[in-house]
Amino acid sequence: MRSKDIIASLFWLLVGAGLIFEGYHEELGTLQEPGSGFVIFWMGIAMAGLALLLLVMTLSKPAPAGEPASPWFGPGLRKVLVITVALLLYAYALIPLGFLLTTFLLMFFLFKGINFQGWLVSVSGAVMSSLAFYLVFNHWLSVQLPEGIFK
Amino acid sequence: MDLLCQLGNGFLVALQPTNVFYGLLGVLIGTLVGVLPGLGPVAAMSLLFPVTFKASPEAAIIMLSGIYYGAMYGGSTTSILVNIPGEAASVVTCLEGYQMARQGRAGVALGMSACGSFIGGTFSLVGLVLLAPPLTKFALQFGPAEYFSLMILGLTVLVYLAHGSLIKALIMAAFGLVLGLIGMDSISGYPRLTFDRLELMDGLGLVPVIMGIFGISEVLINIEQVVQRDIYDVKIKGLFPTLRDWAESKWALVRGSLIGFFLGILPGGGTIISSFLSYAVERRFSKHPERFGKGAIEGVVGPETANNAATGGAFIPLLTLGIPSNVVMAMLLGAFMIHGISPGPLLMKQNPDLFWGVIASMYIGNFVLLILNLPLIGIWVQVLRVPYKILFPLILLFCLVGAYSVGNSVFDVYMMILFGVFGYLMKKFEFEGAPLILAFVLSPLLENNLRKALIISQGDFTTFFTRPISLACLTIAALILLSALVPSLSKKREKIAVEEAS
Repeated sequence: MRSKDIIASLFWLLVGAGLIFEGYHEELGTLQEPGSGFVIFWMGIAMAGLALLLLVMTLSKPAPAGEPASPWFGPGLRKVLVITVALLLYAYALIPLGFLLTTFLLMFFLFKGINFQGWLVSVSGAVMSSLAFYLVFNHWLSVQLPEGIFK
Repeated sequence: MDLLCQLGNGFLVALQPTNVFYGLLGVLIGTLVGVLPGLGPVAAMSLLFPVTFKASPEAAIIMLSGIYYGAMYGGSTTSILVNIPGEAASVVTCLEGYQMARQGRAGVALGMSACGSFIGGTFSLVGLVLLAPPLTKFALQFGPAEYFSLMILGLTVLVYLAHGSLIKALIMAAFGLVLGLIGMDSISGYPRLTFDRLELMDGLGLVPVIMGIFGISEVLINIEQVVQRDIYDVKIKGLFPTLRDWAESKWALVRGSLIGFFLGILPGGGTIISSFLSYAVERRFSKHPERFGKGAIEGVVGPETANNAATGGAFIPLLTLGIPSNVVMAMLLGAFMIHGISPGPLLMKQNPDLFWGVIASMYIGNFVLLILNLPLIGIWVQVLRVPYKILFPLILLFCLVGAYSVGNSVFDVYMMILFGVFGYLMKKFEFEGAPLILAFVLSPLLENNLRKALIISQGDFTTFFTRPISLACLTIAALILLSALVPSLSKKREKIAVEEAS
């Protein structure tokens, strides 16, 4: 908890400083006519102030004895990372490969690679979900999903 | 008489086949997400946002509202049968509901909570119909200073009621305000915080941000922790309450309706707080408080009535002032804006079909939920048996396609994934998403009203303190924040937060 709060407060302090800089460089304006950067600047100050307060309050509290070194992430962290990368690859391949193929590959990977389902379940699950979403969004809701290689 | 005529017209709108279809779809999906742990109404509304783009504004709002109050109905099922609340407002239902199920009274608990939800929902709609027109007239007196101060009050209450650290909640609200400012400045026309990306000129999309923070991050968290679901396997009988059940619950129904409705109206209040307060009140008023914790029916009926009554109350600030009182209402505000409609004092005059149609659809929706849910409880129990490993790929796909379909843009998909990871880290670092989302949605309005108020008053900051409504809002907001410094009140706030979080 303590280390989490120290890291978080330093992060938000940095964000606040960035916003102060950005707000100042956008137009600050005057009180009579506030400019584009007016609210950003003051939000940056507020955020930096709050982050500093969080940091001071965290540091002023004694660290509880026996706090585990890294209690943040559960045993499934690897899964979380793999799924995030899979989602990014999906977004990257969506236009060139098209919706149907990319979605099939993603769903197959999630069913087979993450959930360890059998081949039949994984393939049929991936085919059915890709087709169902394609039908609902492309035909029913008239969303133009990328056709990719099926153009 | 005029009121009844307008409501009658609303029923004509709500009963149009398309609107009935979207309404039914909304309440069914709402009940489904209420039943499924790990997927709340906010996530479901964000997932289904794109589905409403092609619909008329009436149908879109009717469907999204249906998801909201449908989830309140569905949430009780998991609380009673599995001891896992389907959504946060049903947390307290677990305490008595699960005990009743263990005593073989699951049917009574489910039946009475459905009836309580119906009564609470209907009561709040009557209140909404009666209170909305005079409030709309009152809201016409509001200028930029009043709007700014009212929004500050709403944000303050939500921040105050956020789980855990108040400072963290304030940081989230400040960050949400900044996120909402990305894009073209509406007054000067200059681009801000766009990092030279054309896609950001119109600002960050509501759908990618919400889907990321409430959809993707929820999946990532659930995948990391394996949740065990222990369904209480008993044949559900006696769903229809007996006279004795009604007699035991009558005052809980009355108190729950009143508490829910009035807390729902307050900014930052809503379903969660009202259900907790209702439980506490029932316990306090009970002649046999020793029964609480061992399956007291009032402990199920009161909170379930209150959380449904709060849904109707929460519509009042949105429909009359254009200000959302909680995250769900913030999403509805987004839906209104996507369809080019600004909710507020003029909504009733300019879009009477929409205003009264939505209200009438809620009457119909509440009735449909009652007659559908009692016979369908068996099916909802079966839904609970669908393993999460089958559900999560479909939730992810919904998010991906939903984010893409907003503007046929892969950039939105990247943004959603980015906010998904951000939301996951937020939860790890114990920051809450609700203040961020409400601030994000309110941000353009808040900035606009602040700058307009300053321009009108020629830079005189006291304008916020010399106008009575504005002064009242700011004083209440300041008192709320200062109360966090009072040790006894601060402890009480932390206690509520811990109870809600657990």
